[in-house]
Amino acid sequence: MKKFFWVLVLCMTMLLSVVVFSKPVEISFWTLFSGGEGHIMNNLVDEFNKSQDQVRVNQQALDWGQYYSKLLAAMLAGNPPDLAIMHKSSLPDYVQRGTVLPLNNYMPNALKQDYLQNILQAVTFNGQIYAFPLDTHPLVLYYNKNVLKKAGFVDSKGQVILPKTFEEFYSFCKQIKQKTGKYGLSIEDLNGLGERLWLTIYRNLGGVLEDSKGNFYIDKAIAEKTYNEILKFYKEGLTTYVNYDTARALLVSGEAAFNFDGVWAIAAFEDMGALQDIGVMPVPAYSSTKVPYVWGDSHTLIIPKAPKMDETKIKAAATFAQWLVNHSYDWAKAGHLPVAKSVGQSTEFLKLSLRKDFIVSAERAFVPQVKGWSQIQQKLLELCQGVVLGKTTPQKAAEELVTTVNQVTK
Amino acid sequence: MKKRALNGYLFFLPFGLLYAVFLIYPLIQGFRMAFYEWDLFSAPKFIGLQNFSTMFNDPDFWRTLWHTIYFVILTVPFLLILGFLIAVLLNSRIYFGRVFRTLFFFPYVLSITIVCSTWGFLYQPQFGIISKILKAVGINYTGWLLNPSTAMPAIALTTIWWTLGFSVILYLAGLQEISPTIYEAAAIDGANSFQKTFLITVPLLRRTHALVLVLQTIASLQIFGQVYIMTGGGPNGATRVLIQYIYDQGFRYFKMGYAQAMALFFFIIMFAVGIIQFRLMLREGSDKD
Repeated sequence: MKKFFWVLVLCMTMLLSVVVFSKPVEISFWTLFSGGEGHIMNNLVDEFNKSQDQVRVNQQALDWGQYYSKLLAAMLAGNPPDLAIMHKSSLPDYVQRGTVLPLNNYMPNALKQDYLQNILQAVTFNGQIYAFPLDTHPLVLYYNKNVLKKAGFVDSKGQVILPKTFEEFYSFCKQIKQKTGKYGLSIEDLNGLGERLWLTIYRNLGGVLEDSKGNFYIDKAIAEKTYNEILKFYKEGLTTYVNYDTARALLVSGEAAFNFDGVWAIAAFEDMGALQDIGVMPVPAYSSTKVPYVWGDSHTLIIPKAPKMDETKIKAAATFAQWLVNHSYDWAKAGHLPVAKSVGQSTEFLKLSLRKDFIVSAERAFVPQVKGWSQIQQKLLELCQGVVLGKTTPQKAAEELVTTVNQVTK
Repeated sequence: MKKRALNGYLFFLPFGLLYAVFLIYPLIQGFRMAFYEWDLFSAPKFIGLQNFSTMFNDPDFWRTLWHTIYFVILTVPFLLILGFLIAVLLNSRIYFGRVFRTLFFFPYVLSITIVCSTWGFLYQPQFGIISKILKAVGINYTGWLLNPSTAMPAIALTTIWWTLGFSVILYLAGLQEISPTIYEAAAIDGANSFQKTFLITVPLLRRTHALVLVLQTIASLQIFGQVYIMTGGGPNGATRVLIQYIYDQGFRYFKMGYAQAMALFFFIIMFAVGIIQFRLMLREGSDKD
């Protein structure tokens, strides 16, 4: 009888241990990826789930157009996902409203050291880290080799010659126009022009985004100069006012020599089979620029705050987030640049086509960090369109921009 | 009798409950929020009519409201007049009448994304077909969507093409209700087809005119998707409309109270427009029906 009792206890213990130890922690993970990006993320999540049996990630891919509205609604309802994607540029709006969990205790020091410092700083507020940055997707400069060669920008070995500074880039565009009749550059009329290129030029001209007290700030004189720098390309016919698809088509069809676009475009050029004619380089800075900058947002992973937080789920989410960052060489196939130094130097990443030509952009990447950025962003887009279409002057645009900045930050 | 009433209420209850919870309650909350300052996460703060005074002094509010009304002016008359004329043509005995009917209605079943992306390509100045045609006849074309003064008319043209079929169907239904004996009597009196159309068909379709006018006006006031896909509100804000501005204020700038105030104001405008139009169209002749 006693023996039977012990056997029973043993059986119960085993049963219990099966239940307690092998049931994986389930975490929900919201993303906004579709197409090629969505496919890569699905594969990564599957791979993680197969690689271990402690944590099970349930990815829910939402439509990007409605992503933030839905995330906002879930947070308000007190039922957010355990882990979610958030753009670096959106973080201030959410962090300063207390909706994101600080991660200092959940991010290992080794990873803190491994991150590019500009990227880690961008997700740090008041000394607390609020996100695992997954990538950065900066603005880069694409070029069509055939057009450059036709304009004579080719060395004795048949390699194309590229501009080293923004001044050189401007003179390249002028010569291309003269020699081939093609446009020097193409850029889309919305975020590409008014936000991404504008901010890049503004900072490379020495413009800062913070005043001495650390408040968000735009320098009126440099803003005006930035508008003038952009306007001259339009005035002299070196480019034309076009939408996103057209800007890309002008480059691929050889109607324009250069095209400013995000690194994500590289995946599209690969799909089109256009990469033998197209190259990519970092956006050149001015000869007077001390520290070169380039606009570059990031996808980051955040843990939204919920009324009831479960420590095991937080740890499980952090485990998966780290795994994802360490495997971001796969994610980089979509064009994004890794932000962990070890991944950026890995052979898996460097064997991807062309990536080493613009990897330097990752450490130059920045986005403005201010609560209410969307409102300033909207103004930037409108004003830059107004300037290049001749509806407003660089001086008036700069004044209006500063007024909006003051309204938002007051 | 009493039991019958009780049964009625019981049948109404499931729907009534859902209606109250998901429509009436949010509506009342929405009205209330127009008087608060609320960034969604912190506690709402009562500020009286301040949102409304902000609104009346906000140039972007008036600009986007005007763009919305401008869009209504550009679309509704065409949807009314073209819809009527096409319906009359289709209703007369013509060859392939059914084929044409299907063709005119076809765009309406397409999704907004497909319609707007396709027209975006048509309008495109370097490779688009409109550009190719106009250049062939010697007209310089630089892209209607890329010019602040032509962007809204271009979006209106797309919308008319897209939703005209709906007006046509409503008018066709109305036309079929007119008794052929009236036309026969008119023919005996020596009326020509012009007189038949404008002295018989037009006045007898009064109800249909009112319906098409109200439905299309309300639909046009709610313009958002076409602008969002085709121009993103540009160029230089020339096509930014009120619904987009309300959405931006609420969900992107976190000013929910202000967004609610504008939405409330807009709701009152739409409500008033609807009532006035119905009254005007139905007043005369309501005693004759």
